[in-house]
Amino acid sequence: MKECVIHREEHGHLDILHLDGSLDAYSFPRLEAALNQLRETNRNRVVLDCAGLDYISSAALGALIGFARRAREQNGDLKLAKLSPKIFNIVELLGFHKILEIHNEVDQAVKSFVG
Amino acid sequence: MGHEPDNQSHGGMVTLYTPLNYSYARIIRQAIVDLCVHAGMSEFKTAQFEMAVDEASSLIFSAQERSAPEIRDAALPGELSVRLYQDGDQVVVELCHGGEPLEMGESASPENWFGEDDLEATGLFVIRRFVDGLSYQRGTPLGHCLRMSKKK
Repeated sequence: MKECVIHREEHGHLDILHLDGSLDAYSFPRLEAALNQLRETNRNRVVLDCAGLDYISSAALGALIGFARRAREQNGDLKLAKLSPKIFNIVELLGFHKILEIHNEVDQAVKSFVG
Repeated sequence: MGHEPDNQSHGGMVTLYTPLNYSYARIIRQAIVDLCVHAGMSEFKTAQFEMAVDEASSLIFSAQERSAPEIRDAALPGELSVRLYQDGDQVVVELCHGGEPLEMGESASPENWFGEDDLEATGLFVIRRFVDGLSYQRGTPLGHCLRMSKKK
């Protein structure tokens, strides 16, 4: 378990946030800051690369839903990619797969914005 | 550490004492994951219980933050005790804390989650979704005690 590191990569009109570590109540403000920065600059098409994510709290999931809902109002969205099986299991049992779009690969998530 | 999971209960118990502070949540999570692995719980169930315990810890820390300054200032190391043990076919965690008691009210399903609003209701939803047994007792000799259990 390690502190979450968030690396932002601009990809044309969308942004990919690469997450590495645990998004718990202690590190959650980092995600909040990253999302706020995107919101303030009207960057509302976001893919979250969760390949390195080993834990996510309800607060972080709530922040993702909040961002996705606001982004959709402006024809944007926030999509998840490369969830580990254990985190996908959590997300599915909590019903998040009905609210947030989830892709196996980052490339798929990026292309889904174009299509 | 090279040992196979031990599926037998030996009556052992692990107890942690931490300050009521978010920065200790990761230590608690690591302890619950280690115990679940030791007990032979599956990876998925371990992750579910890890999240439930983490949400419960966060609710306790959050209640402490909201409490009156004189209570918060009186917070001392050891105000949260975490007891972890196996009981037959289940793993049990007891979180006993001082300060403000939790309000074990309504929980909110994800359709009703929005940003950082109402974290208590979302945390309670996760806890109730992922544990098999849940009880909360106020004012015991050990403080307010939240007991959660999950079958292996």
